[in-house]
Amino acid sequence: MSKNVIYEKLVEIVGKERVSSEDFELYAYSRDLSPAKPKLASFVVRPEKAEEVAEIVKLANEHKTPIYVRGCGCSHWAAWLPLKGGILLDTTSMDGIVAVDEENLTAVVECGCTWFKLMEELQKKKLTYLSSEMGGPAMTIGGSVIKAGGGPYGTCKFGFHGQMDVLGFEVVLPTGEMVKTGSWVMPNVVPFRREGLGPDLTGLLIGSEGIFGIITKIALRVRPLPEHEGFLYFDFADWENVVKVGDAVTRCVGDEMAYSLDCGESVAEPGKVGVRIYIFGYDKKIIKYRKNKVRELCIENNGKEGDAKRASEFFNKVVSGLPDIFASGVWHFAATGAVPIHKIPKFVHAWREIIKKHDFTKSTFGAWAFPRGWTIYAHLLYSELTEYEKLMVVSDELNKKFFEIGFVPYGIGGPEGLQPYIKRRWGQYYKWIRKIKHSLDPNNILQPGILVEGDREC
Amino acid sequence: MLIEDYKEQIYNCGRCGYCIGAYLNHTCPSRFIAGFESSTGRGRMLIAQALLEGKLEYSENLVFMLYTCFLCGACSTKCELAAKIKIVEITKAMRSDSLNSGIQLEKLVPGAKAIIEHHNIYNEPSEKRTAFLTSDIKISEKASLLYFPGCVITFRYSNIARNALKILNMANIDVTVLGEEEWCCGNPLYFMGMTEAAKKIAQHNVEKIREKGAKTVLTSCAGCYRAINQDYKKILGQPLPFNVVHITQFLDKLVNEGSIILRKSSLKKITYHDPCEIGRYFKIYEEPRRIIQNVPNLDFVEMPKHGDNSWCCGGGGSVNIVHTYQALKVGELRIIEAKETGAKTLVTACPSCVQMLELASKRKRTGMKIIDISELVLDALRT
Repeated sequence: MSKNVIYEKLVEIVGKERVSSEDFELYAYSRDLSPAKPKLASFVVRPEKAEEVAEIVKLANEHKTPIYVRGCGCSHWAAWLPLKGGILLDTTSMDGIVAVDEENLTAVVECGCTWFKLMEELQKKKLTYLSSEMGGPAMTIGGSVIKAGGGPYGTCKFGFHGQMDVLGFEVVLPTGEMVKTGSWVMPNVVPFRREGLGPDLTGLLIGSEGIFGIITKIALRVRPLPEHEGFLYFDFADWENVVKVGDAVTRCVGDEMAYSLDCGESVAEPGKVGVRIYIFGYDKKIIKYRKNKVRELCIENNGKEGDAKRASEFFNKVVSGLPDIFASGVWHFAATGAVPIHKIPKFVHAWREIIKKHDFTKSTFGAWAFPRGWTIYAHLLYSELTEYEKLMVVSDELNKKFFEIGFVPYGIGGPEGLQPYIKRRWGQYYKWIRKIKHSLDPNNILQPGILVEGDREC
Repeated sequence: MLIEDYKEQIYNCGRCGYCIGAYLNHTCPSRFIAGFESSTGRGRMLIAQALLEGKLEYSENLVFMLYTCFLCGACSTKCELAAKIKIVEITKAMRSDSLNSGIQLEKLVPGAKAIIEHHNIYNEPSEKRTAFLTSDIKISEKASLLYFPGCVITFRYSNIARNALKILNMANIDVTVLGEEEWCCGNPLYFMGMTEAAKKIAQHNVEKIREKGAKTVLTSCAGCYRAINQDYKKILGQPLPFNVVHITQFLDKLVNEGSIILRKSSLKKITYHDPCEIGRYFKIYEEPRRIIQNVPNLDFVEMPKHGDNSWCCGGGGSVNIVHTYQALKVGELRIIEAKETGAKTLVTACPSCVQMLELASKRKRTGMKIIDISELVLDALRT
């Protein structure tokens, strides 16, 4: 089927103003935040509603054309780059806040709504969503949930999105049918509960990187805005003591002492670990107690207290956008994933060795806590013009080493993401995902080549 | 290619999307009207990379897209937080490069031709440049202060010049004008990437201002202010032999010194629109607000988007010439925002903003009055 026919059909579905096959447009959509090389789609389409998405998916099946799905493009692992061309579906025109239910404490948003936009709307009603990530102001909720995202903001207490705060989805399946998940499925029931309907198919989609369906709406748990908060900043001389603090803070699972706990060591200051802590709550006395308790913990473990502003300035800008993030070059998060609460030091040593070996001067090893674990990352800053090759070597070495030590990747993406590292490690699990993918998406339409290799290529 | 000069910056874009902002379709007016990634700073950096690598060539459609950019600086201001990429300058360089590669949009030709041949964008005769100088305005042949009204004020909003000059007269400040010798500041040519033609204009205006003995050039037009203050220095490669001051800065100083006393206003509730070319470009935010706040009994209310987050009136970057209808949509969004504050009058400090917002107001039937800040001040001096 010729390109022109698909183009005309897309125009029929969404209108001329929302489809493009201009070469310059395809380049504008050719990269994400990762160092992956540009990938060109054949068309970019910007649907405004789920029904249009369903029509596009049906069209793609009819013509065996792949679809890659993009929020605002902030993926770090080439998770939407159009490896095999086809249709690039830009979901940012679906950015509405559908409903905020103050009674049931839920919010329903369209997939292209950003965290920041939702936060601002919730704040007007003295509500908040407490577990967000640090993808910057343009990070969409759909993009975040589809990769099971989570940043330093709120994860120490609430964990990642998948753990409790996503209540259900409206989804377009790879063959074009529309379904809902969670209590939304039931007639006359609002989306207030995720479980209770057999297997957790909401969970199946979280972290699926879009291969099982296109999420068009998301129902989220929201909470009253915390009335009190406290910030602490500590420097430590080693990670072993930081781990002890993290262990103690997250030990009472469900009643974690801190809301956010974020740590980092920079190449510029080896052996110095800065720890930023955010404590929140609804009762002043409890906040005061927890703040003192965490402070005592840090001091007991040889932490040296610093200016709490270093923590408040960081956490207050995590969602709206941290300043000077590219002041010394472009970002790349290599070797990012989750490890159990006591395992950090091994990774730090590996990072130090590799960075030293390659004399890579612009790097940070970071970690943020979640209940009984850490997300760790090796943050690399580089000049794309002069340091690209070196970056790729260092990044590959870090990825290999971290997987060898043993960690769970944060995001996988395509062949230029972490996919090559997981393929042989996942064994039967990898095959199982491919089987599910094949049964849901027999034509391998959605995100072919992302997360796992498809059975059949478009 | 001129974009070669910005190569390092172009490749330093981390594609974080700060330039797009959290309100994906309402942070950048270019994205608001075009919707696709090519209308964003980040998208344009990827296009620039492809152009530099020879993977992409300029086409009429690409240039058409480049003219969805209002050059309002919303993206650059956001990028100040991230990579500090001069997105506006790079977009202008892309416009220049496209022109050098032989692509010029037909819609832009008449305006450019008018400026080059008649030295104003309206094809008006030079003799009309002094029409705003009514007998009640006192002007010197030579003075250390020169008022530069610019084309839009001279030929379409002469009341703005008269108001400004009357205030200067009331404060006993000696002032001169270039009159028939004034040429368009060249701002539209910079927007169109026509740097050579713009250079001739800059040379002419600077020479004539020098001949008048002026040490300070005062203008009520944000576009003229930016062009003379920023582009002239760059294009002539040397410092200017005079200072450039915007009317908001000048009036603020007069009020602060007590040279003029604002007594009362006939206006009631007002809001203020920040023109991009004095706002985001030069951070002239406090001066107009101080003037307004010095008017007794005036109810001033901010629009949600103000200061660095202000929304363009739709008149920037020559977009209104190429995408007239879409540019109006941008202005309409702004006037609706102004209306929603409850203000009856919108004050601004640029004739192009007045023009676009008046048009938008008529189309949306808001009934709002759009005035330049000099009118507000003169009213407060007279009432």
